[in-house]
Amino acid sequence: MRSLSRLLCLGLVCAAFTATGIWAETPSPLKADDKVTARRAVFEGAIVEGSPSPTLQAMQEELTRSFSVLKEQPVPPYYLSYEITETEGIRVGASFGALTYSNESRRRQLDIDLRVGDYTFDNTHQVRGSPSNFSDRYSMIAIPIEDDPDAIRSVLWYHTDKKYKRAIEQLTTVKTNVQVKVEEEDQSDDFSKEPVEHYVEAPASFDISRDEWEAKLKKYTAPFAQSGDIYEADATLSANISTRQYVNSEGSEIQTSQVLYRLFIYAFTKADDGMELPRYESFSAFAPEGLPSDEEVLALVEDMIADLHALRDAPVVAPYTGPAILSGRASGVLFHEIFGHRIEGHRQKREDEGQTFKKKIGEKVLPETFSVYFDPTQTSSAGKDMVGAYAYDNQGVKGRRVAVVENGVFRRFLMSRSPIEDFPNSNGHGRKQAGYAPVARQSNLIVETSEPLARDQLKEMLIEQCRMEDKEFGLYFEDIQGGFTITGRTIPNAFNVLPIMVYRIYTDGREELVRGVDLIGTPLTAFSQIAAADDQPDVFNGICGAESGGVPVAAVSPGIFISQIEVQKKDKSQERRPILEAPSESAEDADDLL
Amino acid sequence: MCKRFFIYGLTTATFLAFSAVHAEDDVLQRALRDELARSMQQLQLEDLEQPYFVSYLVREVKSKGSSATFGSLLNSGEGHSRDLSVEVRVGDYALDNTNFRSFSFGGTGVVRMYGGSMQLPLEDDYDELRRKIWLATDGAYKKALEDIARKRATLQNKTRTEEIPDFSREKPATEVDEMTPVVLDLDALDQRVRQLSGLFREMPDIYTSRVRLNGANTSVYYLNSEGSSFSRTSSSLTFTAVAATQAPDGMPLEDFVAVYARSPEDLPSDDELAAQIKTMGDRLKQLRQAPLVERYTGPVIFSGQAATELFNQGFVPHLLSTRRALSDNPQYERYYPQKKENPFLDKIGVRVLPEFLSVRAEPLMDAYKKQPLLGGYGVDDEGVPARPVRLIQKGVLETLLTTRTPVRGIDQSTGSRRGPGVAPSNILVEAEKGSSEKDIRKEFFKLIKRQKKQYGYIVTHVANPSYRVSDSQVIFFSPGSSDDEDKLANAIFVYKVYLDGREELVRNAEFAGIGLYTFKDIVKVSKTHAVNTVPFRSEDNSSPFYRGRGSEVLVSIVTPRMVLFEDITLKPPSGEIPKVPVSMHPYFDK
Repeated sequence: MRSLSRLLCLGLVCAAFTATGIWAETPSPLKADDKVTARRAVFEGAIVEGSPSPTLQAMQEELTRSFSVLKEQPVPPYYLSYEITETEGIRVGASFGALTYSNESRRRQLDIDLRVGDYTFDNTHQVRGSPSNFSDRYSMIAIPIEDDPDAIRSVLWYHTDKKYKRAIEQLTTVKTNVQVKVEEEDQSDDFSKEPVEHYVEAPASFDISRDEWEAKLKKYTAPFAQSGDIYEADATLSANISTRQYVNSEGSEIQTSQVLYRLFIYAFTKADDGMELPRYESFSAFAPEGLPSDEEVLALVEDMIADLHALRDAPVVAPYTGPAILSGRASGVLFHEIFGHRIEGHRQKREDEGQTFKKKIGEKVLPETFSVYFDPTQTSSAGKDMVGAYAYDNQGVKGRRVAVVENGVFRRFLMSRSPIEDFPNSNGHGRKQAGYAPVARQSNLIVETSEPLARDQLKEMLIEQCRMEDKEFGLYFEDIQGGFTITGRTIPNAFNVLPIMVYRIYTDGREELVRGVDLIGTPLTAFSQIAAADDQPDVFNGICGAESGGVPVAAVSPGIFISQIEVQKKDKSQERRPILEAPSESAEDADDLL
Repeated sequence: MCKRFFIYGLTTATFLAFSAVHAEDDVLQRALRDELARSMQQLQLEDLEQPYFVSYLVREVKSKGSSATFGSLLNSGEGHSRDLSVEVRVGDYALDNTNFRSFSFGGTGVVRMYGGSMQLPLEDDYDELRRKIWLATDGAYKKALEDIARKRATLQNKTRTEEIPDFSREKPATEVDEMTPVVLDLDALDQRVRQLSGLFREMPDIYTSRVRLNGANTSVYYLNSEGSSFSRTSSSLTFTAVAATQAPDGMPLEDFVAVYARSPEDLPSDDELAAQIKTMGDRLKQLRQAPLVERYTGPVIFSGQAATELFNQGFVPHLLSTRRALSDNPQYERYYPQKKENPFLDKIGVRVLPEFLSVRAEPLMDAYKKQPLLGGYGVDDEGVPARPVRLIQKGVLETLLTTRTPVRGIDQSTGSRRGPGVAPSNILVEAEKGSSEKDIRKEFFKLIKRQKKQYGYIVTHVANPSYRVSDSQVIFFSPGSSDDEDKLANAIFVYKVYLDGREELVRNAEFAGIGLYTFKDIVKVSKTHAVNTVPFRSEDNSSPFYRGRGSEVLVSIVTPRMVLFEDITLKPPSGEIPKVPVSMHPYFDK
């Protein structure tokens, strides 16, 4: 619940400042192999598994009809696409051993992309000097959840007409804007031409019992009730089938269907100084077998409780710069923030964006031993499913592996169908949450090293660095809850990674749990300090929020050694702990009184 | 358990009395009672003051609902929620932490609460309920302490022009107000909305439509430190159908059907609902062909639904007391304005309607001349028993509906707290001596002639903002505006009536300049009556960020069926007009 509200907050910030973030899905160590659920072979190639549903056919028919009628208009559309996203799922929640909610839902949302003008210049062109109209980037259109072609078509028609009228207005605005403002730096087209795709996957189905999960979640959260100083302890299970049906006027027809199971456990306590100390555990899998067993979860819950108590007593770190080691998950988030968001293609075009890496193609940005890929076709790594996987993106373009850094040299951007200088085509990363307009977004971020060191070797490097700089200690970031970054020009281009479990590593090798700091920095400086990686890659699955909404992403990285990082004080609650003791304890007191 | 209960009973006498009435095996009630007793005894931060009043209200809602368009389901589902609202007051009845708008951002207390309410577990788990109640009380108490400190600081630099107590004293009451819950079958709901929305397949004039059927069982349990408590269960069913189209010149036309009932048996049959939908479809079809209204000021009759909506939107809101809260930040007040003070506060004892009209609130009535009234209840959300209230007698305002928040000139609650603020129940506008409808028309023509006009207007259907065709609306966070309160929604169905009796339908009529004092000049009303039930959301005026967050309650309004005014202004809409669709509706393009 908390993470959700923060994500939404972030979303609002994104709209204004082009800040982007990844949030709160912290998977924890799992044993390999049996946890990996091989997704169906659909990623292997365009195997047509199912036949087009009545809904897909209705979409096709209405698209053809609407497009041909609108073609007769003085300002005809040159492109039209429909995407219907169906989300069917269950959500169960428990808190301290009691059920808080349990429900199921099914809904369908319609997205329409209608473009007037032509591929080189259309109504979606950037309007400089004025904030973009939020309702052009977001709309919530409900469409029937039943495969009734007449009802589906009536909604498609009604909203296509509205969208068309708005597109004509937009085209007039952008034409004027181009004339009034200075010449744009990037003169690329507004929309790329991409191959026509035909791909129909059979709808996925569920295999999950709500009753069973209600009982499980109650069992998982009950142990937290034994500590009167843990104030929230929630477990959530969500299981969703997301089925996307897509047609466009270029002739593509795509249907994909994906199941995702997520288990999330969250608890927090408070230190005497008011600081809120959370612990998260989360698991994502494409099949229920990918989730941990009861024994594993209960053992983790015990660890969480122990960690929370340890955190309460942990010393607060002062702002500090010095060497650090980041675990695989922490480093995955770091790469996602400082690098991933900055190589999203459309940001190289918008004139209010920082464009950190725009002129760095062919330059060395990382040590030669490092390579970075984005791969939506890879479904698992290090024994865990990766939630940033998909067969096709939200613009009908096939997902593919994109090598962005090869042996330390920066090669290319993540591309949607919005071309930029020297990159005229999409590489299958045009993504969005239902209701939003797509932009280039990350998928599965994979950091690889050709020279993996043992974790102890990183520790030695850290201690060596401390000695050289005459520092008493370095820091080890073991677990994080997420992070965010700002990529625009008006606000400094900083990033922030929010750690949960941080240790001081002293020069004698001693490790001490500490609290109260966030990892901060600026992208190029931080990137230049990355020195070495270990042999323990780990996956962070999360929801990434940016201007096209929340999309599932993964980041896998080995642990890394950074010769210099900076930490700042964590935002801290000013609320003191409750005045009265937890009721169960005082009830005992009352009995004692008798 | 008995032992612990005994201790509390001894220390706070009120609880003992209370305990006798309620079944001890209700886990939720026991958890609330135990934490209330502990809070009143022990809750104190260092040497700051203890609460003088604590209340808990738990609202549990179980609902089912479906919606459909063009014969196919859009949505179908069930909901179950249980929320706790806590009120903690420090200070005393004369001056406490409330009626104060504190613009402090961020939470208070250890856990997050939204607008003073917290989600409770759905199960009767005593320990977990107590834990949640404990944390909610702790947060509310800390906020109360902060608020009273800021309020006292603000008052130090101000001279108060009037001393109105912050909280009224009421006699403790224990009430049970229960209805049999309705049993709903989701599949049956689905089937009904599917079928009824399918009727639009025979209406080529309609561009978009939606049919919705919802049912909810709500149970509320309340407990306060003065010894009041109540439990109240109620159920309701809501059927709505909305449809929209455009006139040939592009002007949008919308219409709706809304039906409320207490039980599935009371809901009209599918045939009757279908007839209502078809009538609406006919209205829209006729409107598409009708000429646009011309600007007009002169005699107008409001008839049937239009008469009730006119009172509902233009008059009834002024029968509710609103108190302006003290604020510690005048700058923020500009961006998060409060509701204006009700001008009727200064009109008590003054004539506000013609002498032949009287108005009363009747929360205990469930029918008026055999027509059901759905705005009733036995006890309000502050534990004050509902009672009939005479509001306007022979045109003279006697009092306003109030909660336990006193306003200038009204010290006591009328038992009208519903949700976060004051709300109407069943409102009856009655004429001492109504005319026959024939006489009303005669008088109408007389007025037309006197004004040397050729025609007047009869309004039979007025829009209500609760029913909108807005399926792609984006909800932005926007503070309430204080200027929208007197505005009447547009008219849907209006006839131009010529002196020779000829009637001509016109479309897109909007009202201009209907204000509070328009009602004082009602010329005549009929002795026939009309009944209408509408949704209402109450607001908490002192909570700047959560204004209007209350859940919907029902209000039934009875008015004379025909109400004649001497001069009302009707006008066509201003602003841009969208074009008509480029292509035809696919279903009818055959």
